[in-house]
Amino acid sequence: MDPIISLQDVTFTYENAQHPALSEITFQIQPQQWVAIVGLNGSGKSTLSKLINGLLPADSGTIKIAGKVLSEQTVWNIRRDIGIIFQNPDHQFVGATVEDDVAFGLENQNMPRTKMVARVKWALAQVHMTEFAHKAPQTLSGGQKQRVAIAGIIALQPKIIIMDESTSMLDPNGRQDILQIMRNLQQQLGITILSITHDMAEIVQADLIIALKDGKIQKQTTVQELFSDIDSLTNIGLQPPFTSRLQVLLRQAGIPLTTAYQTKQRLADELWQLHLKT
Amino acid sequence: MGKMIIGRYLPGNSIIHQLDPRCKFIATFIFVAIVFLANNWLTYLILSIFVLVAVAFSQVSLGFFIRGIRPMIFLILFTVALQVLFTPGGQPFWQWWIFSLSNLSIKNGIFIFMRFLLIILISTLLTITTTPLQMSDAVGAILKPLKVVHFPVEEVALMLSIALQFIPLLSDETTKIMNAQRARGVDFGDGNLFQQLKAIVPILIPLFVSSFNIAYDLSIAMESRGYQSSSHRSKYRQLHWQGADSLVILLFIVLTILLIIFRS
Amino acid sequence: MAITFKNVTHVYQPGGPLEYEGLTNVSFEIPDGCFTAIIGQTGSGKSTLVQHINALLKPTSGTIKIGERIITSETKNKHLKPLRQQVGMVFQLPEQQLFAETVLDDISFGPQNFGMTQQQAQKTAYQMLDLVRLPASVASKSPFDLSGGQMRRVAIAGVLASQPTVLILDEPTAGLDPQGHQELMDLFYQLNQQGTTIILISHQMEDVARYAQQVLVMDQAHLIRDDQPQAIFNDRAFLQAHNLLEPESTQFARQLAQKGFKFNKLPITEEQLAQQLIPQLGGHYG
Repeated sequence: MDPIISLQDVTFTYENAQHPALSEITFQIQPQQWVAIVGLNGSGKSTLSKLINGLLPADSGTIKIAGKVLSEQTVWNIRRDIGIIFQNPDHQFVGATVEDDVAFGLENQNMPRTKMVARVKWALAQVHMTEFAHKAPQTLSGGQKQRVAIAGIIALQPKIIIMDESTSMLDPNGRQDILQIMRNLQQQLGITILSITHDMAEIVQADLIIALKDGKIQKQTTVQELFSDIDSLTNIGLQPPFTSRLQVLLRQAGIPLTTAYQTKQRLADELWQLHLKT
Repeated sequence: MGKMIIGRYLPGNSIIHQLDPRCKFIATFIFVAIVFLANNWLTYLILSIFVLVAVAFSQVSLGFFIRGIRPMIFLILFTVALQVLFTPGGQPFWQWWIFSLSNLSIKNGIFIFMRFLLIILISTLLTITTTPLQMSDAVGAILKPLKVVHFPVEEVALMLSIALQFIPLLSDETTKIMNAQRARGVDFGDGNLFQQLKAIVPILIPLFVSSFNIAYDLSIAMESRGYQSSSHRSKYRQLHWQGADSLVILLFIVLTILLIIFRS
Repeated sequence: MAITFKNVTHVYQPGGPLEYEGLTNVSFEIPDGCFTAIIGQTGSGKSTLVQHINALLKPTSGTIKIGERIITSETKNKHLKPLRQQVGMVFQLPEQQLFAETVLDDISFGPQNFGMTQQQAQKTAYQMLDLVRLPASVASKSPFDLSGGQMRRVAIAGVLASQPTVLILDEPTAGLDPQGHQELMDLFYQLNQQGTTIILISHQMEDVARYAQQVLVMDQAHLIRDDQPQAIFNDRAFLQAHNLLEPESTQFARQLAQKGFKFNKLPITEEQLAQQLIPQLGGHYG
C-alpha cells in the first residue's frame, strides 16, 4: 500500500532561531495506522504537525499527503484530508453553539445547507453529543469540548486526524473517553491517527512510535521495542510504563523475569507461573 | 465561574423571546425614533401602555427592567433637572437668579423623564430577550446592504460572534490572573492612584499575552479547518422571519400613526 | 500551620438568577506539616475550597481557621497580606501569571509585595531558581522567551519565593512531560519534608497514593470523604460510585488476586506491590 503520509528530509527553522526546530525528518505512515509522536516538551512535535498540513512552510524536503505533494497550490486540498484536534479545548471553539462549531468547516467548503444539517447531525452522533447540539461551549466540560472538536473534524471526512496533545488538559475520565472515541473512529472510518502525546495510555495503543529529540528522529519503533529498552526512554522524556517499573523492582529482588515489555495481562500470567513453581 | 450570562439575556420562551432578532432590532429603532413624536399626556399614555404590554408579554419580572434603569438614574435626573430649571415660558411660580419653575417646565421635565424611561425599558426588553449571538446575527443581516459598498459584512458578523463567545473565557482568565496576583500580595483598590495603576500592570500584561495566545491558537484552528475568507462560505445558522414578526412591525406602524394623530 | 474548616458554605452569585453553591457545609482539619491531596471530578469544588485558604474567597457561612487567624464572611479585605504570604498558591497553568520584564523581577515580585527589600528578594529569587532547577543564566531573560516547561518553573519559583508555610498546588504538573512532572513532584515532596504543609489538587492517583498522608474527596460541592489514601484506594465500591480511578498498582494487584495471589491489604504504590509479591514469588524483599 502507498503511504498516506510521507516525509523526506524535511527541515524547518523558526524565524530568528539559531537551530532548526526540525531537521532532516524522514518517515512514512501507512493508511489507518495509529502513530504516536513522542519526545520532550520542545523537541519539535507540535511543529511537525503544523508542517504536515501546511500551517508552517518547510525550508527544504518533501511532504506528501495521500499521494499529493504539499505545495502552495495543493495546501487547501490537503487540509481537507487532515484534521487537527488541538490541546486547549477553549481555544478552538469557533461557533457560538455546539452545532454551529461543527458546521464551521463545512461552511468553509461552501456546502449547501441541507447537506450540512445532515452532516452535522451525523458527526455529533459519532461522538455522542447529539443532545448538546444547541448548547454554548462554556457550559461543556473539557472532555465534551474536545468531543465537539472531533465532531467538527470528522464532519469534513478527513483521511488523517492529528491529535496535538489533545488529551493533556483533560481529567482522566475525559482522557479515556476521547481515546475510546478516537479508537472507534480509526476502526470504523478507516482514519489514520497521528497522536502527539506524553500519555502512556495513548502511547501503548500505537502501531508505530516516532520518537523525536532536539528536532531529529531518535527512533521509529513499536511499543514492544520501545519499552524493552528502559534506559533509552528517559532520553526522550518518557517514563517506563507500569509493568516495566514493576519488573525492575522484582528483578532487583532476584525474581527471574524477562526485561521485555509485557502487557499487564501477560505479566500477570508470567508472575502466576513463577508463583506456581515456588 | 464559567456560568456568567453575557449581556443581560434572561433565558425564556415567551412570544417576545421567539421573535426574529431582526424584527426586534428594527422595532426598537422605530420606537426610539417615534418616542420623539409624543408631546402630550395622551401620546405618552399610549406609548406607556404599549411598552408595559410588551414587557408583560416577555414574562420577565419588572425587577430586572428596573435594574436596567438604576445605573442611568443620575444621568436622567440631571437632564430632567436642567430641563425643568431652564425651560423658559409658562407661568413661573418660583424664580431665583437664572432658574425658574413653572407648570410648563415641570410638565416638560416629566415628559423627558418618561422619554428616557420608555427608551430604556424598550431597549432592555431587547437585550433581555435576545441572546448576544442573535444580536450579532441581526446586525449582520441588517448591515447586508452595505456589501454593495464592499463593506466586509460577513467578516464583521463572524468577528462579532467570536468576540462575544470569548467574553466569558476572557472574564474567567481575568479573575484567575487577578487571583494569582492577589495571592502574590497585590492589593487592588488600595492606595493612591499611582499605586492602583501600578497594581494593574501585573493583570494587563498576562491578559494581553493570554488574549494573543487565544487569538493565535484560534486562527490556527480556523485555518486548519479550511477558513480562507468569508467570501465563499455557506451559512449554517439561519434566521426565520415569521408571521408574528411582520405583525409586530405592523403594530409599530399603527402606533406611529396613532402618535401622529394624537400629538398636539 | 494547621487549617480547620468548620461548616463552610460558599454561594456564588448570591441572589442572582444563576446562584449556586460552590461548597456545601464543608468541615475538616489539615494538621501542620501534612501532605494533603484533594481529589474529585472537574467542577466538584476543589478549586473553590482551596481559594478559601488564602481568603481569595470568603465563606458565605461557616468559619475557617488558619494558624491563629480566623476567616468568616465578615472578614475585611484589608490586612490579608500576612496570611497570603504564609499561604502560597500555585494556580492551574501558573505560567499565565508571569508579567515582568525579567525572570528575576517576576520571581522577586511576590516577596517585595510582602515587604522584603529588593536586594533580599533578588537573593531569594536566585535561590528559588536553583530550587526549581533552572540555571541562574535565565534570571536576566524575559519570561516570555522561555519554553512552556521553564515558564511553569519560573511561576512556581515566584510563589515559593515568598517562603510560604502552606503551599497550595492546583494540578501543578498538568501538561508537562513525564520528566518535568517527576522533578516537580520531587521538589514538593522535599519541601514537605522540610516542614511545609502541602495541599495538592490532582487527578493523578499515582501521585496521591505515593505522596499524600490525607485525602479529601470532593463531589458536587460536598466533602464526601476525609481519609488516608490506603483506606480510600482500597474501597473499590466508593471509587466506582464516584467515578474515581484507582492507582495502577491497586488495579494490577486486584488482577493478580483473581489469579490467586494473596494481599493482606491492597497495595497502592509499586513499592508496596513489590513488597507483597516478592515473598509469593520465592524472593526476599529488601
